[in-house]
Amino acid sequence: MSWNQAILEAQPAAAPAVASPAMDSAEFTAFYERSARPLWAYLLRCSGDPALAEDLMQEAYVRFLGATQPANADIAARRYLFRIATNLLRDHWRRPKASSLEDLPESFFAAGTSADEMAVQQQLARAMGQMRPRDRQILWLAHAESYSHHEIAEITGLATASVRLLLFRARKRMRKLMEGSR
Amino acid sequence: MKTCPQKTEVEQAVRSGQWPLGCAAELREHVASCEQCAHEARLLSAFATTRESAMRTAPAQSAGLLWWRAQLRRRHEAMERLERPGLAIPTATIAASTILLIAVLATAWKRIDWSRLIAACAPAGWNVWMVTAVAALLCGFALVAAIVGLPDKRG
Ligand SMILES: [Zn+2]
Repeated sequence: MSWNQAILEAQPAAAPAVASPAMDSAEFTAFYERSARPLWAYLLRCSGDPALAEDLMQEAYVRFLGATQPANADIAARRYLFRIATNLLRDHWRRPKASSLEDLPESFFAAGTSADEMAVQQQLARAMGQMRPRDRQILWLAHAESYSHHEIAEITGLATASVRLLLFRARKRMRKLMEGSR
Repeated sequence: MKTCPQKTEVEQAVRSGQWPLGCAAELREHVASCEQCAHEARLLSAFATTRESAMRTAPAQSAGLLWWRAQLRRRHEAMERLERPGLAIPTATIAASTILLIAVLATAWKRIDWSRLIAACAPAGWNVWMVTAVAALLCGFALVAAIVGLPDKRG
């Protein structure tokens, strides 16, 4: 047995800070099947950059697996995954020159839909593009993912009262933008 | 503005996918006449269709590959932790050696017979205070010389 092998096999005792994964490979695959597409939609619609969304999606899952996951409840695990993705988006926006929603190719927000739906989506995309990044996240989590104020607070790390206020203001602004563009 | 009592019903209809054709005709009539509910239905429908179409463009990633990448990263991080010397060990070592050094010096200091040492080494007629003053002067001079003579590392 090589020294490296010995270290790897002794890992749980040698490095207790490494959490043992709550999911095995099969459980993770099932969780991935259920959560990947909504997570992709969230990252894509909030970042406006398909390549970035793909990178962040991979990173979110790798970090999800590397951390101590919430006890087997699927809903909690999914919320935790969105929390990781939210932090990754925030880290991206903190760096200079984050891309805007305006750059998003049309095919990414109107694939396989009717002309009416496409018009509504373009209207939403334009309005979202003018919102602040954090407001985009909160709006998406509330309206596309149907998360409660409390759940959004858990995902974003904000206080529930702040989420309520931010969402109220963002909705007001969104309404103005959407009605102005009709 | 007061919240319309039927807003929740409209929200539920859109979220469950029943809006507009799958829900009661009364609700559709209400939405047609209520500005607040009409906006709510429009907003939620826009998010729902945007989500649906975005989900259809999701890239094909392998869950198995992500699983192994996560395993590799965990192992790599565990290795790094083992290779990086912890801060606790050097701190404890330095503290123990310092205490030991002070103890040894204190014991040695007590054992020295200072008056005999001065009588043997210093010129006749010198007392402890004169020797101390000269020693302090010499130390000060050595310190100044060391500082002035230090090579300039900035260059
Ligand atoms: Zn109403």
